[in-house]
Amino acid sequence: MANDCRNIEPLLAAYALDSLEGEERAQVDGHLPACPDCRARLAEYRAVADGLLMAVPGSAPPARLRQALVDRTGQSTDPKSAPAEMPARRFSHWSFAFGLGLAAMLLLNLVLLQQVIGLRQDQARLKQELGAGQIAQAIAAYPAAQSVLIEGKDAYGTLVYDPDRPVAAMYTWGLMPLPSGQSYQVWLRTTNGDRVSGGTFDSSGGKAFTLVVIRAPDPLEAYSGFGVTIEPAGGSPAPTGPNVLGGSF
Amino acid sequence: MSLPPKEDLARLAARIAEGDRGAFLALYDHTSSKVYGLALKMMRDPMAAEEVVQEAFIKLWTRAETFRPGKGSLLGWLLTITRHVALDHLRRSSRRPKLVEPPDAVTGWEPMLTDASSRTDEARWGSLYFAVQGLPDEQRAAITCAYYYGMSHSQISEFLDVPLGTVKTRLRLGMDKLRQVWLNAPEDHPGDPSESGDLGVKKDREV
Repeated sequence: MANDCRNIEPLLAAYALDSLEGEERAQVDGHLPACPDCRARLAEYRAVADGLLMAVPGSAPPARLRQALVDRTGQSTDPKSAPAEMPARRFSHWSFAFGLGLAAMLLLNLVLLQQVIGLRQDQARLKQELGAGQIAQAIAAYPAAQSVLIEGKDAYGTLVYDPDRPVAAMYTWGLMPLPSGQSYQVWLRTTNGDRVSGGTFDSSGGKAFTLVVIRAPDPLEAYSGFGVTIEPAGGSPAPTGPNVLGGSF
Repeated sequence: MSLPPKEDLARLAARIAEGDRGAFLALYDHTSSKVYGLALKMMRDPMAAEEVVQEAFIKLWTRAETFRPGKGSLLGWLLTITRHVALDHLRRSSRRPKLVEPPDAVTGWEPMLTDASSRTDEARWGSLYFAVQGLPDEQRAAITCAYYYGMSHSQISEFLDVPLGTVKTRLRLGMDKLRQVWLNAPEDHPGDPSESGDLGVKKDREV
């Protein structure tokens, strides 16, 4: 072998196995045309490589594989009429598994999103209740604080207020949750019989009582009484629905 | 199912090229076990192996007219297609190969080992199979990575965590031993004691 062959021959096995890359592969490519010895050795290695294809124990494939080929080749009995490239790829098992995984993740995300939205709603409600509780406590702590009973057909409660202030805390029991599209609205009755809105609220579904902070345009001494009606969500300019609670200052 | 003679397979190829679906299915029945075995060895996953086999047979169906009997056997051509399809799948999936294989089931080649004079194709494939199993683990691993997993020198070096030069040596020593078995050629590289291996049957060692 020539000197060149001493450098090339050790690379031929890897070359035959398609494992050689870059500069070394180029060296072999450049050397082979002029070297019959290395070409002969490479042919032997390639024969071994071809043999390695055969030297794998057989294994019976599942019957569905044959059926799949029957189906696919049945689309065209003449291979020449088939597209030059592979026909449209069958929806693979990997694709199916990937899609299934993706769908599961999406579903999980939706569930988690729903839980997050629910938790945020709970958080907002608790924050509102906490604020109302703090205001109610503050009102009750005023030296001039008074309370009146509230009565209705199915509900009752207590209203705590300071006549000098335009705010009151109303505790009610027995208010039923309203369907969506409706809300309770507080009305303050002026001495001349007009009704002024004191705000809207929803009952706390599932809880024994509802605490509502009423905010009036003027100190409560300007009013003679109050009531609660059922109105469209968001409230009405004047009472339109049934009166469910009421009381007098 | 045993393989028909090469001439019969070549005739099947000609009929397949003419669009004979029956010939195609006959070829499948005679060769699918070999093709699936190779795909399974390379993919290490039955579902992925099925995909490879299906793609390989469809390639053969659509390109049968390009087969040249003078350049090799139809089975060899089909297995070459299968290997290329499997390597494409492996590269696309970037799946890391596993070098610890479950032991092969009964190969069917064991009885042929007792018949040293047998020179049938099956006997030669069996000899080569057992020669591969008889290689030292490190040489068999290098050849497996290169040929069945399509890894380059540098990828093998990284994967097996050995220097590049060691990869080259292991590939060369291993291939020389297989060459000796496959061609009954004299061994050119006796190798150093640490890299040498017994060519005998070692069924308990699998890569």
